[in-house]
Amino acid sequence: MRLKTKFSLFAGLLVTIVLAATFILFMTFEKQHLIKQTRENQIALVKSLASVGREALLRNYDLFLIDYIKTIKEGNRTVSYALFIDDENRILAHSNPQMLRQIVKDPIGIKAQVSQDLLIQAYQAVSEEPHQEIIDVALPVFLGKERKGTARIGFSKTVLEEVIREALDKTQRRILVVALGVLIFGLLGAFILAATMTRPIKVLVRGADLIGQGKLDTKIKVERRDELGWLAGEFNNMAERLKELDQMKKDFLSGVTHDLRSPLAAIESYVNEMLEGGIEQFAKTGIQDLTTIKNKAIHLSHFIDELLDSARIEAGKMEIEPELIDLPSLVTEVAANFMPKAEEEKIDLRIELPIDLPKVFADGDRIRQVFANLISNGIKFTPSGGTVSVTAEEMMENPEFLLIKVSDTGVGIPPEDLDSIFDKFHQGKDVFEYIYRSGRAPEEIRKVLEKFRQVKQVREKVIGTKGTGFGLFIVKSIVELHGGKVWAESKLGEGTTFVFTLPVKIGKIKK
Amino acid sequence: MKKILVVDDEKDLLDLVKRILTRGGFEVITASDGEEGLAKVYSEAPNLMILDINMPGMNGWEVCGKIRGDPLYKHLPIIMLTVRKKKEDQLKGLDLGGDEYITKPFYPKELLARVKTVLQRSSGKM
Repeated sequence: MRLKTKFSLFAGLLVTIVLAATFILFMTFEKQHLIKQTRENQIALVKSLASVGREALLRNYDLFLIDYIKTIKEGNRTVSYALFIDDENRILAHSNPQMLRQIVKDPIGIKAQVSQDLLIQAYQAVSEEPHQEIIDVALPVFLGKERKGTARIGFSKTVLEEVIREALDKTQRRILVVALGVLIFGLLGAFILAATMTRPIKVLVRGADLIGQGKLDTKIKVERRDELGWLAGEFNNMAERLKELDQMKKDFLSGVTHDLRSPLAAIESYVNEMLEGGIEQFAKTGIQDLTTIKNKAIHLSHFIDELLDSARIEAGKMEIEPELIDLPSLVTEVAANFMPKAEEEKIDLRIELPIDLPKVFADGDRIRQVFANLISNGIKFTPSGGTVSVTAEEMMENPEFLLIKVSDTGVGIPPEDLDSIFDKFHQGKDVFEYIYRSGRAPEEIRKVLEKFRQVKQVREKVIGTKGTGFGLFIVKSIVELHGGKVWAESKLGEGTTFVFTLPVKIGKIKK
Repeated sequence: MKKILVVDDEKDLLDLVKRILTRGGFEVITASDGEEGLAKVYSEAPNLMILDINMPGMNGWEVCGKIRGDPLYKHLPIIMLTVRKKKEDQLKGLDLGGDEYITKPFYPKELLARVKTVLQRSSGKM
């Protein structure tokens, strides 16, 4: 069943139930009210008859009383009879003229005669046809302290009930008309409300469907300040985020594609050159070209390794096997691989680790990867004559960790970029691009670019010629897997220091 | 001797192109990013430019656009040399005013032949 139908039905049912309940309650109260009012009217009528009778007794003028009784009988069809009795039980006036002057002997009459106060009695009248239930209301009449007579009116219960029923019927009809109006109005209102509620839901459904189909530019137009409006807003935000993710995925793919294709294209171009050149050409440049091809191949395989590493990290599948390791010997070992390049580029690569440094509890292979990445970065972005140094110290405030620094005197990183350098695919060239597009003061740009151009010549020559864009992402992930932290401090054009912490005690690695 | 400016951020490729063109009898100057390339267009006034697209900072599209927008250099012949193989990239390159579009990996003899053709075509125009 559609939401609109459901809602309308429910609202309709609710209106009906409320109306029915109101109706029943109203009718019950109305009936009680009518009965009470009737009783009050009856008593008032008897009282007025009593006062007229009293008057008649005082003036000794019976005719007036008879007239009045006649009026009562004719004016009110519930009145079965009315009479006035004197102190000798003789009927002084009666709605039935045949009863005049007779002595009252029936038990109801005698009871009424003795009662000193208002007396209401119900009985079955046997004398009349058909048998009627009569309510007899009697009131004694006093002159001074002396009882001088009794005023009595008999009301037919059957007629009374009929009158009440008639009155109730009339009310009921009125109420039904009103209720019908209310019902129609309520249903109409419910339907309209349901329609206004479901229209934006329909829009939402259509929009969500479009987003589901991958049309991420979809904007759901539900401008309401209620839950539906908020829902639409959330949907739009979601589509926006999906679009960003989609774009990131595309950028990532095109980044990977380009980074895989470029070295491959270079390799193939070199091979073409060698094939076209023949033996003669090979004698001149063959060895050099093969070296280039080899370096490109090494770079490609390094890139693929890091790509797989970061995929492993993202899947949460990278595991570390920590053991106690001696940092100075590990770093010296890693740095040895970079020494020839550093010397060639006249960069002073210094390992300044105290010999009494406590051992760190870490995965040796992964930590080697961290140092290789940071040192190669340092060399890449530092012009000739600069320095790359590795230092370490125990932390006063947190003795469970060792603070390690890899500093260079290279191009530096813009402060806005210090966090994002640890993102995937953030390459040194992006820093360059950033500076170029940042609208910084020309003097600053010139200074940084100058340094950058100098180092470009260098970084082409170090292992893994170009960055892979995964290095710092992997560094950060490895350090964090060890429970440590990593960050960068830098001044544009002056240098960068990468700082990270590693645990010194067994069992301090957070899972 | 015709002067050719080669702009590419990949040093190995720059070296290779330089060697091939030098062998073909051209004077070759190089630049390793878009900005440097643009600066060398103005300072060296080359007869032809070979331009990579994916470069840090100013990319090949932008360099090409800037040169075509400059009344002094708008007739400078430009050959795009890139790994982008897609048809739409080729069309964009030619739309932006590139005279030729060559994809990497390339064949040295073909590169040389195309350079010569573009140079002949442009000298005939002028």
